[in-house]
Amino acid sequence: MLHVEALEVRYGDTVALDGVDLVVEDGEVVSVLGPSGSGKSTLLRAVAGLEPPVLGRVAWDGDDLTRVPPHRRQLGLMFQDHTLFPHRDVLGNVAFGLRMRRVPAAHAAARAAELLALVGLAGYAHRHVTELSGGEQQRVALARALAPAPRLLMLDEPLGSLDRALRERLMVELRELFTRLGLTSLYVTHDHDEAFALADRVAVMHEGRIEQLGSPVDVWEHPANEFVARFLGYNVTDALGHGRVAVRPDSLRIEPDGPIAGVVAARTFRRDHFLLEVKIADGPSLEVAATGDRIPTAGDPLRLAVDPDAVVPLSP
Amino acid sequence: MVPARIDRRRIARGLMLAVPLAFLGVFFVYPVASIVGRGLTPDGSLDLSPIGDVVTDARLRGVAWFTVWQATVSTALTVLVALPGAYVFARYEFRGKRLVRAAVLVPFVLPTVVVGSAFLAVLGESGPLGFLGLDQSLAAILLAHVFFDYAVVVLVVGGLWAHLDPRQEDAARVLGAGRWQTFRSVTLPALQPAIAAAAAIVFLFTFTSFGVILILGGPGYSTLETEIYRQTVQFLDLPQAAALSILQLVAVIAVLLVAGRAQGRRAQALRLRPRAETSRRARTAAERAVVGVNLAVIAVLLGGPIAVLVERSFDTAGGYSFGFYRALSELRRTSTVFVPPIEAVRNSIVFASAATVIALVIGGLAAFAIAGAGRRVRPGRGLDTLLLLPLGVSAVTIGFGFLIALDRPPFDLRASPVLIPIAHALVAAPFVARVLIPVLRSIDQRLREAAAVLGASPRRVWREIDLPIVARAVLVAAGFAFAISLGEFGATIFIARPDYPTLPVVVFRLLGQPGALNFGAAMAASVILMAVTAVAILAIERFRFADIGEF
Repeated sequence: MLHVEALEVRYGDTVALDGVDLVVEDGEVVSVLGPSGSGKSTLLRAVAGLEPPVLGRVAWDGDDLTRVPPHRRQLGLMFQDHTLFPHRDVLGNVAFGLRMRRVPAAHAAARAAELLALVGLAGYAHRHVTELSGGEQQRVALARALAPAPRLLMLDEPLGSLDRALRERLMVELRELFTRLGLTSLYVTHDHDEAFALADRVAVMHEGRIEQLGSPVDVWEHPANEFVARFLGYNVTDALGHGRVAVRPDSLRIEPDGPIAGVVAARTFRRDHFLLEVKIADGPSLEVAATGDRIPTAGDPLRLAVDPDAVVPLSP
Repeated sequence: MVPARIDRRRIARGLMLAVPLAFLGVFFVYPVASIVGRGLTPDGSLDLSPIGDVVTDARLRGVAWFTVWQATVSTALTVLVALPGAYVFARYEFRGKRLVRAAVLVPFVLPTVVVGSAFLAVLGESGPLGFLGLDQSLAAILLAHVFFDYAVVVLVVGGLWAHLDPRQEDAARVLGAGRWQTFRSVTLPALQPAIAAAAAIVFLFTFTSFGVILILGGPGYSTLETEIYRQTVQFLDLPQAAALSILQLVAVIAVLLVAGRAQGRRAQALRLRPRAETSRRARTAAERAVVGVNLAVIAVLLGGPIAVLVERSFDTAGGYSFGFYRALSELRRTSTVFVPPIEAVRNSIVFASAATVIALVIGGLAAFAIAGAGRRVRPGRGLDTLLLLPLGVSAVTIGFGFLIALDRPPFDLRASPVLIPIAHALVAAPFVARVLIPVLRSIDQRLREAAAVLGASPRRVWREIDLPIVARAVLVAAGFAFAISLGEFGATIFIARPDYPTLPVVVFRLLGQPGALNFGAAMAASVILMAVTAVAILAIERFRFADIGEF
């Protein structure tokens, strides 16, 4: 079980982590979600021991790791751009962590082959890593991180550099792998879909702090504050008559006698719906997801209604 | 609260630096300081008269003037002759291009005494061009300098030229500029920083040229370098030599500063293209003629002297034979060489091996310390500069400094042959560091972090990541160091004991002896020296010249 307590990391005068508390239970996948620069990668690096904290504590099952150098922490970290060792072949990369733990060569090779099979790269052992495609390199990096059976696997935007189709396929595979191996994992991403699909709990980060921590459903349905709401794609507005609230674009309906009057400012096609930017008479714009046969176009006036259950009040 | 490992890393870096700094302190700073001391305080009190003498003495003023003048003319000639060559290598593909490019690099790494011998072989009284009467002439010196430094211009300017986008020239042509106008208004400005950098390097090399001038200039021409040598060895006027060395030091540092500025300006934004997209086969008759003329210049200017040197080494009185080579093991107890010259081959290889090891350790540690300082701690340029200074300060100054500083306690090493590899390592270590630093800097820090997270201790990271990645560069650096040591002459001539001569010293001493047998033996010794150097360079070429670091 990973304990992060009041962790603070600074780069010069910049505060990259500002008192982060986080617990990851055994067998749990926690996703760290946030925009770039929110401190999520720094959190992983600090847990791995690559960034020295100025304050706070990292512990595993009660053992304080804060002053333990990275190579003795027995954690796994998969970097954003895979960072495979260019001077070693696939086997040399996957077996690296085992060699560092003085596992006999034959055992290490067998274990590496096992992991290559697990990530769907059986028979790739003696390929040169520079010959591999982006997706293949990602799988090798995953196998390399998994090989020494780390007690915690950390992944830093592991699918960030891949194209959409490959990303979605690998997302499913990762989910399967996490469940099958019962991995304890910290998964950093800026993509909601990835975070919600893979995680047992989601931590939303902003400016070095965790803004909200909860199950994917809980975070998605009840954003804790304005930042989380906006980051997840909610409208944040005072125009609905309930004070400051957050409301999702698909919770606003076009109704001829709805209470809110507005004019369509722009219309964007989004595969399964149209996203309308609606200018409200006495306020800012709202985003509205519209489906059906008659989608208004730019310049059309319309009226909107909102399901009261879908309105999330925000504390001022 | 800073974790202990940061401290340990800093300590490790300090230890890494301590070794090269101590080495430079004892074998570079201390001797140079001794020279300055000798020059300014000849009798224990400050006395500027030797410096004053140099400035007022008409002959010495002439020497200083000639040093600057010949370096300027040599540089201009080299750039003029080599620029078309750089163009051909950058823009055209032709059969055997790789081989020719490798051959162009050979003169640059040839020992200066070999270059001197080769031009003596061509221009001397009995040489094929002896009728021109250029023996011991200015023309011989200038030609030899062009021969020597042709490769610098081709490497530095051609390197940039090959990556310039030819479409900029196409654009100028479409806009109505003629060929010459295009060259002057588009190509030349883009190349200007590289030309300035190459010219600065050539100027430095020719300004501190020693062996070539000593062998080809005869008594009629002398530069600051040869004058320091003569004042020391022939007239035993150490204060005078020290004053000349100080003058030389100041001039070299000034040139280095100018060169540094010229290179600093290289970092301008140019649209560079991969090499493969910018060169093609010559198509028109005019283009083929340009390629042909340049290849002919290379063959005659660079290949000619080497071919004649080899030919003369076999051209004995009784026809072609190995007579001169056999003489190398028979000539004995001449006035200056107390051992059969062939023993110098063994000495040279032993010294070069030792110098290579020392240079790799010193230059390697310095490179790791400078490059491995981490992402956030950018190392000061101070150390960089201190390490590279012996590269600019002439070998003669180093040899002279050893002579006057290391002959008494605390460092009484005068009788020790160990001084030779140390002096060679001092000249070679900056090259080693310059080859290794860019390679080390190019290693992604996250590779080291990935290894650490996978369980590699800092020392293990160094062994598993840094070392394998730089291994190839280390081999290239070793080849360089070996070749530099083999050919080193300026420092060696001061400190080589008569019973431990190196090959360049033997060549020089043989050339100083009268008679066809000694001359022929000098040719043969030069050919052996060239062959040993060529083996070292071929080893480098196997690891591709294009990949090596900055000069």
